[in-house]
Amino acid sequence: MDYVLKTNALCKYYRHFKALNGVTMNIPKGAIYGFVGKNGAGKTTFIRLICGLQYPTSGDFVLYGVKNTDKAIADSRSRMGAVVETPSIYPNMTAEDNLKMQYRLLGMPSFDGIQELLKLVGLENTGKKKAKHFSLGMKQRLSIAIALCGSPDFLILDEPINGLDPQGIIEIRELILKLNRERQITVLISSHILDELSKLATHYGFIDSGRIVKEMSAEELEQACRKCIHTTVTDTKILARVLDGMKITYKILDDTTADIYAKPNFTQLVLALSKENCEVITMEEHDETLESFFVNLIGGANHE
Amino acid sequence: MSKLLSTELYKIREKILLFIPIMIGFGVAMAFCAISNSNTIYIGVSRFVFIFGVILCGITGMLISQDFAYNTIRNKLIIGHTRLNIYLSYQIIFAVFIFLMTVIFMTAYIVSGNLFSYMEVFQINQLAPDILQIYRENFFKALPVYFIAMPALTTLSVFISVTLKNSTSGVVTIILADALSLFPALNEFFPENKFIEYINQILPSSQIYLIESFSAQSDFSPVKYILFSLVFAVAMIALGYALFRKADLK
Repeated sequence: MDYVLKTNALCKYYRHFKALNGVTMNIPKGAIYGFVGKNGAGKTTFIRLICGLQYPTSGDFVLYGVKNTDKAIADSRSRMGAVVETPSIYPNMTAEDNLKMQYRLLGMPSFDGIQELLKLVGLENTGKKKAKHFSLGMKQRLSIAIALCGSPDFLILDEPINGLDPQGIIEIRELILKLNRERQITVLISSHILDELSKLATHYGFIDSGRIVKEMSAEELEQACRKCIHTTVTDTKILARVLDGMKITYKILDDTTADIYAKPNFTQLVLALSKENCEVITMEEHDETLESFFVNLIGGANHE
Repeated sequence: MSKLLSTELYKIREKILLFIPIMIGFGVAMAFCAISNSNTIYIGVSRFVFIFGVILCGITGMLISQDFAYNTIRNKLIIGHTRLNIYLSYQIIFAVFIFLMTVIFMTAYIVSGNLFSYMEVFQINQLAPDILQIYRENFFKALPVYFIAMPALTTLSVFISVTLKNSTSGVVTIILADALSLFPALNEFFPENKFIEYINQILPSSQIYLIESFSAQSDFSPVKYILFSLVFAVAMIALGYALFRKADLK
């Protein structure tokens, strides 16, 4: 698998405070990577390191095959766009002028793509209105437009839906999906609004107290959060045989536990198992949301 | 680097257009004051140059600090511009800006001053021709020192702006540059003190302030002052970049 970004034990200390403590994560090409963590978990610090706003205390990362300590990292960064925390815009300029500034910074030969970008983020009708008079949602969209100047392959969005109204959230979500599907842009999106991320992300990285607690694909997460009956029996081999006979999907977890992904006729199931000398010890309904999965994960990490 | 310079130039284009007439007006007004007070434009300009130098440095600091206040410096770093190039682009563009403003001011000052003299509006040229000649020579000897010392002073404002990284930079630059005028003042109280004399020769702010008196000395060499200004500028740039290179930005 091709990776846009690979980090290796990234650490960032502010005096004695460990903001990042050995973060190792991999972002596959073409993914929408949901970077999940509560406030202060280290999401923004991580993004600042990748963007070159800060330097790691230890560890390293590879962006498009180039290590962060190589001089060529500047070329790799030119393939990247990012919105870090608050919008980075000139408030006394119009949306168009802000984009022109970014085009100049990139050394683009002409301003041809600006109108298309403004249209893409829905700011084509702002005219001479200065950015300082924009709503928060408009400023966020302008920031994304600035990040999209120069057609980057990798987009980093730090809490892009913070403070947006529901309509604004939908617009940003659709924009991200459009960019990923139509322009094949890899997106790293950090958020603590899990419900929103679950509508976008193809991969997840869960961070807590400066550490990656778990990395998984959306399929794996869906599997983990799928409604099932968590069953404990004396022998899962017998359980598997019985469930196959009943044409019910399941997943064997170990010799005694399994998840059953349907609602079988419990009497028939227990009778069939009893005939094969297999006892049912417990049966619990397991219905985990992304939120509860995250809370369990963080709770689990805190217990370790 | 050229991309950064082009962007910075675009940002200050309106300021340049605004300051050209201000500098011309300032030059004409200073010439008017000089002639009405001393009958010649060739003395008594240095302290005024110092004041507008301080103001321009404050404006420089304010303009650079906007990049930090609006977080637009992120846009430069994210797309791969190096910190060295960013620092140098600030330095180059604002040194050129102040050099240009100094040239405009001095040109306006000399042209309008001579025009006033030619028109004999103030019954001037009462000074003996040989004394006027000495004043004129001193003035033109001091001129290259101004042209280097003024841009050298911007290294201080760039240094403060990238070190503080907030919108107070402009004000702090003005306060600090004003505080540096303490050394020329000390020179008047302790004229025999060699340490203060050396400091005044090295600091561009003191050079601007005292150059008229320095240039009246028989052994005056503008080259020495220009070299001191350049050394000051290089030292400030090196120190400023060393701090900026490893600074954590938000």
